[in-house]
Amino acid sequence: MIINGYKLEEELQTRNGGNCKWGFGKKDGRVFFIKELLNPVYPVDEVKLSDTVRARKKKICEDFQARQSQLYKALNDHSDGVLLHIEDFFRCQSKYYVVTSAIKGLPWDQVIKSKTFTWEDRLRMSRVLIHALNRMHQASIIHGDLKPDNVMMTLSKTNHVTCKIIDFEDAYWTSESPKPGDDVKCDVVYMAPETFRLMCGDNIRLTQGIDVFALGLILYQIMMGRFPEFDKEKYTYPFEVVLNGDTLKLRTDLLPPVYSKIIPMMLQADPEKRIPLYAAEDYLNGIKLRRKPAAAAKPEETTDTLAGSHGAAPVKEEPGFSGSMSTGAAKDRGAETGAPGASEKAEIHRKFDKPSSGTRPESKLVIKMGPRKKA
Amino acid sequence: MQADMMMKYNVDMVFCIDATGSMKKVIDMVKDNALNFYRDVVESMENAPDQMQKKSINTMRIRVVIYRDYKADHDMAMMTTRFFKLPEEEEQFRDAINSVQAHGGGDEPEDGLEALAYAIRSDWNKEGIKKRNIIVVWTDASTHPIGYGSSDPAYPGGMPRSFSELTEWWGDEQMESPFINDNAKRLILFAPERPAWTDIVDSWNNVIHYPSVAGEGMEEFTYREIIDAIYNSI
Repeated sequence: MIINGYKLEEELQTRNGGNCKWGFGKKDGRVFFIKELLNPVYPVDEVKLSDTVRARKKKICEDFQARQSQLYKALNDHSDGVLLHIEDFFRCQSKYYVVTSAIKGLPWDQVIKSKTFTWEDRLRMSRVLIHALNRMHQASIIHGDLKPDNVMMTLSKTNHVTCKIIDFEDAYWTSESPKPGDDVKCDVVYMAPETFRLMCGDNIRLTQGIDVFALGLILYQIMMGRFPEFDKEKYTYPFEVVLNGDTLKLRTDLLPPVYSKIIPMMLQADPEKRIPLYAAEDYLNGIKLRRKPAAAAKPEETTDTLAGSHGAAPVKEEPGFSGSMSTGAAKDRGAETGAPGASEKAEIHRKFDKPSSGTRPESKLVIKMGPRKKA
Repeated sequence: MQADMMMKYNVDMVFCIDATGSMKKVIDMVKDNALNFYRDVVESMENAPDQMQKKSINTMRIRVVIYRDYKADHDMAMMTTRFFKLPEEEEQFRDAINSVQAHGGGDEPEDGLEALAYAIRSDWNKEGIKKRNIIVVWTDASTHPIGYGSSDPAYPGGMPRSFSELTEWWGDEQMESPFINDNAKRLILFAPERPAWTDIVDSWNNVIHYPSVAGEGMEEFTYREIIDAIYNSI
């Protein structure tokens, strides 16, 4: 079967896909991943519909096509390799298709639980993920369904585990918050508390904070190899825990210091209190930028400081993990992602609450969510 | 903040089964799995590939619509049950399923569109923050145009007068169906690539179509597809 020039290897299937069929197809000698969307459906001429119904459905499809084209273009424009590139988006007969490169991913669950997935790997992957989502947010886009299934782990050219964010079919512009009472499409395990409140009918607006909440849960898993603990007798999902005033039992004592600050701030019930990703990334870039030898740091500055997670200070080794944190993670990650500008910044600040000169003011951790100028 | 900020996920399913002579295997499959269905869905939720992602269903209900051909089978052309709540009413569900026999049908097309109309107008559970309203159709035949059997005394009143009107019953994101929630609905078709199933695939949203072959029953993978469709939709 050929769809718009893509020769399918086999029939598209629905396995692991809630809202699409998918498969692989070849075009011009390259293999692509092809996704057929279930919604919307273009009313082809052969179907007997009234003029009114046909016109309405066509309008839905035309609006969808225009919107998705803009959205995918913005994602491609903002990606520096960390967002899966949308190769093609088209309609064929009644269905819409999204085409991306066919990349062989690593199994998330096995990787993060693996003893060979070192602290260095975990740090690198977390940085890439924060950077990737930040790139989406800079494009004024909300992913909307961030979860491990939508974080494709791959091996870099240097044979390190890295990742890309994938699956943008539920993404939307920040100006397009769902309406109160809507059934918001997202994985309930990674659902933000305000998403639930909106579904209950509360008159609130969803922001990029919903992605930040999901990312906090994902980063914790990457770092710790397991999901945050909570009272399973009372709750089924993390958002229920924080929404009902309880706390997720985060082992911040086992996390690298900077993540022991950032992850809890990502998992706040109030989206206004969650750390924006540009601020989180600034902190991580600060780690990457630090060039002074560890001996130069005063002892009190290496406690609960960025320097502490840099590898200058002793690092607690988590049972089950091998290796230790290393500056090489940042170096590799920059090379893999082409992430902007580590060397552009002259100096890092050592304490969270006392930024030194030369640090951008938004690097403070106590920052409310808000718009930032587009990249 | 409300007192109970907990997710409630309610799943309603309608099994629409073509019960004409060639469908014996499918009916036997539904009979075989009736008592296991709830357990299999729950198991898929709890034994997700990643144990960290357990999910739960608060209520699951199933109803059955058995259809044939009004012109050939008259008052045996359409039989429906109420919703059975699982697992509490598993026995009643099984008894209802076990009473179904494959027979009749007349010519090749059957009245599948009328069965869909019944299914869409089901008394769906309106409660719960997250809902799934899933219709599953099994057939090896095409459909008559809607209203084809309307001259038969057993043909019900209130049916849509055209495929276009039935399409309105299904709704879309701009014209919400009066009967079924647009976000919650899914239509899973195990049907041949013949009219009017192809028309549905080519104009309705949230439809998953598995082309079926006449005379072949439901294979194991198609049973798993239904289970996965529930798991993947939450």
